Amino acid sequence: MGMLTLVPHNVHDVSVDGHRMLVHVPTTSLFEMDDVSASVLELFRQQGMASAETMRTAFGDRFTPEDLADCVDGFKRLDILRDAGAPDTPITVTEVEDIPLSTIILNVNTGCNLSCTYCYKEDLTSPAKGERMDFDTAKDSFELLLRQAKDRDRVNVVFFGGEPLSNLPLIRQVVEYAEPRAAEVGKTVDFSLTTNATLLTEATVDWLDAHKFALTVSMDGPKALHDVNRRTVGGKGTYDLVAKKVRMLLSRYRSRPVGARVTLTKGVTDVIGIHDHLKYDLGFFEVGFGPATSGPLSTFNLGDAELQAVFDAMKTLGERYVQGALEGRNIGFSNMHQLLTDIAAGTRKTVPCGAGLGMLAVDKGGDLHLCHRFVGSDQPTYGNVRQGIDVKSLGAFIEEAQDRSNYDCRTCRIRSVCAGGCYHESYARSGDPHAPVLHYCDLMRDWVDFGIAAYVRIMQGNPSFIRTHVEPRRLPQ
Amino acid sequence: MKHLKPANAKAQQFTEAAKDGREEEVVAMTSLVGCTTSFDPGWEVDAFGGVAALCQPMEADLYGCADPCWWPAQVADTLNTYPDWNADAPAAQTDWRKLNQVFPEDKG
Repeated sequence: MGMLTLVPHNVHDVSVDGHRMLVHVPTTSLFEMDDVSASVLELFRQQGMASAETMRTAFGDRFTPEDLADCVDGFKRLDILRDAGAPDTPITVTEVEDIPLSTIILNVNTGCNLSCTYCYKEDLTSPAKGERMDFDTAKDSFELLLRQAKDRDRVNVVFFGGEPLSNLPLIRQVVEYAEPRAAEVGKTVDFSLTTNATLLTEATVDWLDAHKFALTVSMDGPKALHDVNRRTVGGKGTYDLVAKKVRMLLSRYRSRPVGARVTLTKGVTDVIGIHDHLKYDLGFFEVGFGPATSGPLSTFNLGDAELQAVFDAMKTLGERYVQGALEGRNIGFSNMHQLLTDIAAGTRKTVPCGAGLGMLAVDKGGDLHLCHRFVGSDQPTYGNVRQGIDVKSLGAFIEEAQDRSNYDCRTCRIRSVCAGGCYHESYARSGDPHAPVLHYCDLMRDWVDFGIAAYVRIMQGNPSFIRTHVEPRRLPQ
Repeated sequence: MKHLKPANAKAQQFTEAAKDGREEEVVAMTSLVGCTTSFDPGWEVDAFGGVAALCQPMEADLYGCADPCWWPAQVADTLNTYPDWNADAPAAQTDWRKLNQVFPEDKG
């Protein structure tokens, strides 16, 4: 064994209640170190490089030569230790030759009956001016999905808007067409939509239930907070109506759990209060939070101090999640659940999400966008549901997304979990969809460390929680 | 790998693969679909600071812009100079025809 050098950006260690955990950054593998491996890592952390001789000097006869050799071999296999002078492993960019869609997002109407002040939809308009997708475009979209998903058993259709329920007739037509059509080619189709809940009736709810729609309701918490931003076109708060509809929905919806989606903005940051209201007063299965950060206008964006306060509150709620998990209860906190899912599986991403690869969004005219957020933006489109996907330009986009070494991602310890963050958020913030979301990288790293600690504590105290609540959540891919 | 005990599914796969020298296969495994870990923002403007997607129709949000004087809208200043500009139009979206233009008074 010659001189070995540490590859610091491939290893991250977190100490949790006396357990010394090692994160193998390139694969998101999580290991527990013993005395030997922890001591060897510590030595390399201090010295940067070392030889067998250095180790013998440092450890004396604390560890046998066999143990040290075995430990070094393990670290070398992980590319945490490397022969000094060996070149860095190049980033491998997978060429994109095919777009294996699992999901198509139909923007069924650009109109919405609400005018939530922070809405990110670039094409949003009022119901009267809303541009509705016609059935032929929706049908062609589904056929495109079936063609692109030839190797998949399940496909997903997501209805988006504006408010999707403002074009319910189209949704019904699509479902009536898609269910038998998918069965014909041996696939199962799942439907989902995010709604503001205002247009729900008992009949609509029962129909959605019969077709097992995965539903998410956009709602920002108790009245005082919800009504800050979520208003009608005329400017009136919508809490009373939405809460009434949600109670009706949750009282009769049986096919799937229903979640709430909260947007945190300036002044709307009471994570715990919002969670408790939506979970316990209204009865949502789970609650997910999205802090608004990426517009340069400060009116709604969370400032640095507020964003820090939000993350702190998310950690407080995360502690409650862990406590619940140790007692076998799931308190319904989506962000935490998603994080634990990634950590338990060891998800390694080379691109941040499925946009453009597993998923595309269709606008009224049938043009294809990376995702629903880009519909109506100045970003290029990538083909059309009738002529097919422009694989060349979409492939080029995805290939560029895999190599963020021009930015600071190359050596980041959460690069395999984050992969640079949401394209649209970066685009909205900086005009470049491939730029990382630098304004909260530090908070994300801290959040992932928090997730690792939570995972280890749950695995120590109640591992069955991970098996029964976290692992089944993974969708078949 | 006996000094590193696998603690999640990927570490288990890595350890299994390392027994046959196949660890490269695990390193190459990626997940290309799923959600971002970043948080969805709500409010955004476009890359050039544009807010065209906001407040449509404009009438619906006119008073939100005009009353507190926080939006650089091209409307009469109801806070200082033309306090009664909208007196006949309690709801902009229905009464907007009653909202007239204003002109600076001659200073003589």
